[in-house]
Amino acid sequence: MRKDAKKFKGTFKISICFMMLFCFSVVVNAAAYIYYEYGLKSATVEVENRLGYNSIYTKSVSAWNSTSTPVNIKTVPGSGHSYVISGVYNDTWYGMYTPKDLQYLVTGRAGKFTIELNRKQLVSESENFWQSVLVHEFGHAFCLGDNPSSGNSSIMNYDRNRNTLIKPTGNDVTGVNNAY
Amino acid sequence: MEKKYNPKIIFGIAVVGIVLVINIVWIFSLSEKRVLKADYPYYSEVEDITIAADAIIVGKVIDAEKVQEMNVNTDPQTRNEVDSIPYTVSKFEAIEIVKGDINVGDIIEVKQLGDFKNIPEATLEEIDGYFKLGNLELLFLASYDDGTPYSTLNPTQGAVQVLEDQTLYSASKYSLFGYETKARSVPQTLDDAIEKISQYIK
Repeated sequence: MRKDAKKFKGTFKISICFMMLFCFSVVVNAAAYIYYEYGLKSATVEVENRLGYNSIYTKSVSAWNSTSTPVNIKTVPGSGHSYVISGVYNDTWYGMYTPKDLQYLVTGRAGKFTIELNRKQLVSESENFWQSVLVHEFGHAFCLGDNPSSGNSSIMNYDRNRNTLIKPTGNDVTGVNNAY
Repeated sequence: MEKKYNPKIIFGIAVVGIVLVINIVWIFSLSEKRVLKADYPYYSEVEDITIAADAIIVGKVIDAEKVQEMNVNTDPQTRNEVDSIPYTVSKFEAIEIVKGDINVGDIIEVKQLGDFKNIPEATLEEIDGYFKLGNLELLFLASYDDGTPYSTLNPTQGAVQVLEDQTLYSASKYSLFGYETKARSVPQTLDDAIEKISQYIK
């Protein structure tokens, strides 16, 4: 009986330690990024460039493809794929991400997406600013939510400096690696 | 020989398992379960949002939660390449005008991105920001010449609820008014807010 009680106590203590470690890691990770469940089911995606601003598009794609994540954005011609486009929208957003082909039965994630950039809001902004917006929108495609923290700690923050923060940060990379 | 399992160990493992499951469910409940995501301008000061707004009014919601699919892209080259976007449209009666070409008593339409019920915009859903019938709101608006409904400048700072006692309320930490925080000193009443805003209107 004594042996069993000792065994139980030991098991219980170890379990408590694991639980606390688990909870702590959750809190730490929750501060660094927010998971967005309508990102893509795969980090490899074929995208049509309908943006009309090749330099901005290319740099934004490269900003993600050069991260130490599984992200692989392949630019393709044709139709029927995810695409990036710009327009003059009578609204106040800089950019918008819309998931398409949601895989309801398995992951709930998207099969593809559209990203729309609003020239009405971006017309007088720098190329860096445009890139920051597009890299942010790509972040949603790879399961990153908005505003995990503040300032320039994440490309996903509203209050980031869009003229200087134009690539994913370490927090963003962590978030994507956690999703894929 | 019969194996005997210690019930205390089983109980302990069961407790650990239940706690782990609760944690996993809690983690997933923290994740954003919304569909539309948009990146908006952020205004760090009252002066900035005042200058950016075409109109600033206090309005009462007289009609709410009407969803319309709209193609608000006015670029003829790409307009037909994009899908219509769901918007939730509300009607306001203008109660007080702080800035802009609106008169007291005018009825205006204000659109918010997303279908409030089925396909909400993430931030609006998170802060319960879709307008409710009967509420009074301090609005910072962008206007459009072609009759498209007004838009708030962004979901977190473009609208602030005015409560019955004239205090301001916002659920967003980014709001320049009405968000309780010990770290910031922000105008908490409508009169204070209008006084602050008026400093920057020429």
